[in-house]
Amino acid sequence: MMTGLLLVILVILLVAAPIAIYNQLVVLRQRVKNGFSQIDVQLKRRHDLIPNLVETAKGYMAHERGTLDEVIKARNMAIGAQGVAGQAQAENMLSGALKSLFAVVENYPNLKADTQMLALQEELTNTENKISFARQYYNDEVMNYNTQVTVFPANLMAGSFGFNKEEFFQAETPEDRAAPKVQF
Amino acid sequence: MPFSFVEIEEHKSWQIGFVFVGLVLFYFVGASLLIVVTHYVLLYQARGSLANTGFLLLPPKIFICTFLVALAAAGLHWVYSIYQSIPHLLKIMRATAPDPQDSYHKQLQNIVDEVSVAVGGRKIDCVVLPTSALNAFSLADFSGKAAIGVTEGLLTCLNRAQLEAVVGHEAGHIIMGDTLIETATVSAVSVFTGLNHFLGEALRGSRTSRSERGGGAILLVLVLYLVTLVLRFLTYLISMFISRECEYRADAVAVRLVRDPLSLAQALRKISRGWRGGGDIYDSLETLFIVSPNCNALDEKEGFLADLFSTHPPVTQRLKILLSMAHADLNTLDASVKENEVARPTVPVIEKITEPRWLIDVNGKWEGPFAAAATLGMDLRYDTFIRRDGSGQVMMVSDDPDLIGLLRQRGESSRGQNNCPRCLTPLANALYEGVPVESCQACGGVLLADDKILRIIIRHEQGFSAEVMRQARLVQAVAQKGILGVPKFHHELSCPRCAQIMNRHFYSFVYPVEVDTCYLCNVTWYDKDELEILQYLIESAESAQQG
Repeated sequence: MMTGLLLVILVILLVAAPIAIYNQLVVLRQRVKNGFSQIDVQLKRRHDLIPNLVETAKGYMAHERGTLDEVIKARNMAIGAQGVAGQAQAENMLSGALKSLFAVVENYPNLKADTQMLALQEELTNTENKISFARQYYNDEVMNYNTQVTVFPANLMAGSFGFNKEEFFQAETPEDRAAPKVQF
Repeated sequence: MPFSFVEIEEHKSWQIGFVFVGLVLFYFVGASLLIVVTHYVLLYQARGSLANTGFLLLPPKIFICTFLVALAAAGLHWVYSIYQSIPHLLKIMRATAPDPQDSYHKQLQNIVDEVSVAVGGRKIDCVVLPTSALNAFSLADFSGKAAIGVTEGLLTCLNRAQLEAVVGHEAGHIIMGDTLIETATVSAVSVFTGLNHFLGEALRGSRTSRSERGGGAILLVLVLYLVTLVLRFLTYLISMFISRECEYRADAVAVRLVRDPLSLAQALRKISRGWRGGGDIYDSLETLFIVSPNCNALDEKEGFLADLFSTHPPVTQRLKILLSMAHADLNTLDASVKENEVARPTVPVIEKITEPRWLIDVNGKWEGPFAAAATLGMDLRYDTFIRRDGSGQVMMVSDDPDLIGLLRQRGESSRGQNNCPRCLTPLANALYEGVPVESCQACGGVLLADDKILRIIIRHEQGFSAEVMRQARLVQAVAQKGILGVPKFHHELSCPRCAQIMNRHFYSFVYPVEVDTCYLCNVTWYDKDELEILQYLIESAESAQQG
């Protein structure tokens, strides 16, 4: 009688546990996907802001065509980039171009003080911060998910259910690692 | 770390249940006491004494009915206050939505949007408290809405990174669910607080009149007053007990979200040194703020009593924790706060212009020189080119104050077309200390909507020239001599919007700067420098008070 009861309990546990683990992994993976698409939303916003920025700057910075053209080129490449790695690389190049543009803007006090430029700079700071926060959230979710996929006893079943570790969003180049967060 | 609303609800539902049970208990106890006291009062009046009456001689059926009614009442109260709590609380605090044209408000809106991305895309609303105090708060309710509010004073005093850290702290409260509990508790209790105040007033009023029948009613009111008082106190204790730990945790979450402990430490330092009021609010709302708006000596202490009676942990302790994360100490903190302060710009001295004659451009030819009177017959407009006799500089009529005065006296017909009331140049949109205003590029006057003057007084981006300071001192001298009666002004300017004559008056008797207001459009016209003079006067009065 006792052993029968114990057996029943054991069977229930053996069935319930994988179900619970599976469900939890599903939820976490969905969060990871959500985090990833959040990043895309912010990147698109950045792409839309940049032409405005260049137009405003053009009026004042007549002989900085080189820098301005670089920004537009990087932006167009970022829009057209394919695949996660390609996208990440293109976005990083765009960030680099923007950094050099703002370094040059420092030399034009009239442009710096122009209210439209100030508003645009605020919008860009806002967008860059949102992109990094979106990436931060994505990484946090990936961390949760990866942890759950690799702890015991979930790691026994995760592979067979089709749950694999996801990639973190990482800085591409060593110079990105070295540079501090830019405050415009 | 719960990010989703469902998880927050799961984690905190036992605490919410506790508050609901408390609510039911209140209604039950209150109603029962009411019944018992009424019963005894009636008995006393019928029999003349209370001898031979047993205690609680009422049948249990009455108590069951009372309980059911109490349950229903508590349920209704709960549903109403919890689902309507955010708009109700915002109205009490007089919070307003941010003005998208104001650059400071826009920055705050951007920062709140950034932090809501960092929290996983949860939508958080943003409000502004129109007070110069330094504080921030958060609200959340069961319908999933959440709001973060910041005072005008804080917007002025913190830079972008510090503001982001403060918003991160408030967002931390929201996602940890503290805000949900506290908002629920506060709004449930706010009805009692209101009732309590009302009963207190009734008691005070009734002390003057006494009568036999009145005695019974007064007793009733007294009992209810005491019951609501006890309930307020208990809920206050409960929320304070939890809230100290919540503040430490929210600090930690802020750092996790924003990754900048030094900025949060700087912000806390600034807030704790300034006036941290929240505006005109009930005591019970204080748990929702980042630093306690009601200063309390117990706040800075540790220990059981302090934990029990103060809502916020000591700022020094919070700073210690944050600074250890930032690998800094109090001295470097103070140095970095000073470094980040933006000095007011100094305005260079402008020289006085002497009275000349003018050469006037008529159909491409220079005619003149003319004295003022001689220009009577000519068709002078604000953009006619003129040249001072003796100077090579060509300018427009609107650049010259004397000619403009002439034009106004003659009554140009372009009033009411959003032109400057003084010199008739079209007004341009501009930002003054981040506030959207309309300014006249020619004569320097500013048209400001009346509801925005408070922001300008609180913010201090503008520098003051020596001339402004001198004029301000003259105005001060007038104020100190005292103004007897209402002075008779000559109303001469007309409103750029509706073309009606504007009312000329002193801004106030304490700050007798002469301004013109159109009461139909609620806008005020400040001539050149008048706004700076007013700002300078108010700010030097404030800093004189602070010593």
